[in-house]
Amino acid sequence: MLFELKNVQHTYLRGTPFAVDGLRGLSLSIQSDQTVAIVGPTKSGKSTLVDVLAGLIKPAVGAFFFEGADVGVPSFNIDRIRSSVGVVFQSPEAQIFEDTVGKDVSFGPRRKKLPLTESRRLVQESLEAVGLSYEDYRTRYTYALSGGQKRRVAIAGVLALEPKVIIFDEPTAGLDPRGRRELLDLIVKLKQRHSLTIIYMSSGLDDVIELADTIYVLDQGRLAFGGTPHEVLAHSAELAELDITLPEAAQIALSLRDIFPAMRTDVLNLAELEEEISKNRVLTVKAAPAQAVQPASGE
Amino acid sequence: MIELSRDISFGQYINNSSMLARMDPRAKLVCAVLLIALVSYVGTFTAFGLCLLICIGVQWLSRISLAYVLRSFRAIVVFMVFIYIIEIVFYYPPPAQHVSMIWQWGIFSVSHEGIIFSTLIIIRVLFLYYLTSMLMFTTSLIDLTDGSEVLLSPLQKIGVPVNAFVMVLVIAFKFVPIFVAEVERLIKAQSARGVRFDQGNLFKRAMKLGPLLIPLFISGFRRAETLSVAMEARCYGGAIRGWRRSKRRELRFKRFDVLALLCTVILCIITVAVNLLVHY
Repeated sequence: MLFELKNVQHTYLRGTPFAVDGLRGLSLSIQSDQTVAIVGPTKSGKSTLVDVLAGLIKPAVGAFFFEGADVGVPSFNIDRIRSSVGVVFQSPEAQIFEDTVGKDVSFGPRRKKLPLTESRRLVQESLEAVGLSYEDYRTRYTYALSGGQKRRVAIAGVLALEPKVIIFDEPTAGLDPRGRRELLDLIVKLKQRHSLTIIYMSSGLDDVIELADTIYVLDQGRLAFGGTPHEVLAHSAELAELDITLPEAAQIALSLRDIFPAMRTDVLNLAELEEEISKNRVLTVKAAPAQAVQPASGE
Repeated sequence: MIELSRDISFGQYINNSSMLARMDPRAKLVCAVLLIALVSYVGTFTAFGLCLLICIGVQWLSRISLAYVLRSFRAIVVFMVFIYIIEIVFYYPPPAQHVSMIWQWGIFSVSHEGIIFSTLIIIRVLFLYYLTSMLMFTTSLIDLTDGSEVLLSPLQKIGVPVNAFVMVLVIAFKFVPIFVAEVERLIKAQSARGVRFDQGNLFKRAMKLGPLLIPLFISGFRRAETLSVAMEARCYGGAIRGWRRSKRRELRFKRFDVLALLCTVILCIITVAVNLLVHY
């Protein structure tokens, strides 16, 4: 097991009048080489979970295991997590702090004091992996990049650290549909090519339903439920209550319940929706043939 | 691990709708100025004892947890200790005063009078810090602006642009928490890429903060630009003759405000009298 959290709690600004609970008793586990999506409305503790998983905060209460080792014990070297977990923060353009693209992407390798040739190779590979040409972008100023380019540069900066895990914190927020599609394709490509574990934080199911192997749904700092995409979509009523947007196909399925009460909502895409509709139509026609036929003959 | 805003509490407004928080900002500012003048003036332990009683009253009215207020002192403790030591060893008495030496070595000396004098100074600074932070804890930014605008308005008559000055001051205060959040964000982004801010000696740690400054300045300028555009878009500083900004919320004195003002004045007079009559 790569990550394991047991009853983890964290309170921001502890001991002040501004104390806010980030996590209150969260337990979940994440296997390596999987794509795990963590879904929840705002204030559900997603960003806190990012900080915990990336080793940026140590949970005060509860146990947190990384590759089987307890992070809470003083002898645990936090660098172990930080060197194998990369984070693409919410609005990734905010995590770029150097003035040129080359300097920003090479920040990690330079920190590790890698030889120049090695660092250059890493920067080149990372930039090209996110679809930016090394020669063209190396000397560009970071603040003159577009939003989508900044996100790519931020991802390249993380790739240059050669992590085993990348955490994406709502990476598609504020992107247009095309930028979103491109980014999701990039994530799939990166996962396959670098055999990464991907942890994807999202406020809706739209982005992750076809991407994730496992989905966990958070509510107010606790785990509401989790499972495969099919299992999670079956909880459509709870999802609606949490204000989590369903993917298009599942939304249609949910509205069709007015006509077909037995309609299942765990459909990932339009093909599955179509199959479900035809199954239900057969059922309805069989159950009440007279009703189904009458209006047609009456006209 | 990385939570600056937990330690930097100065200038935070705590809206707990206590009597002190709901007080009219003009009255509150006058009271604060009076009390600050008081602790700056008095110089005996008895008088400071009375000041402490006043502060306990203020603390009780504010309904803010004492632990939180005391924690805000943590930031200045090291500084205060340093000043205290310097004050003692470099105490030069006025010419006519008798000095009872305890210890002397070159230009450094420790005397009975020096210790008393320095202790009084430290107590005074602590009171000043307490009073100003209490004012910040219990007063929202809007209240602070409105109150100081009214109190400084006589200066407007001699041509001082009070409104603009107060606005600049308020914006400066407003930017403090924004900058703190910005630094937190940058620290997070850098530690995720391998920088360890919690390692190394003091000097090494300070060196690591250097690279944070440039992005901080850039984002600060960008914010300032956005703000100025937003203000202009809402016609702030529109150059129309006879133009005056009006207020949505009129300030009104309540019974508690008058009472508080009266109490403060009376307490100040008593303390000053005690300070003059009792000489220790």
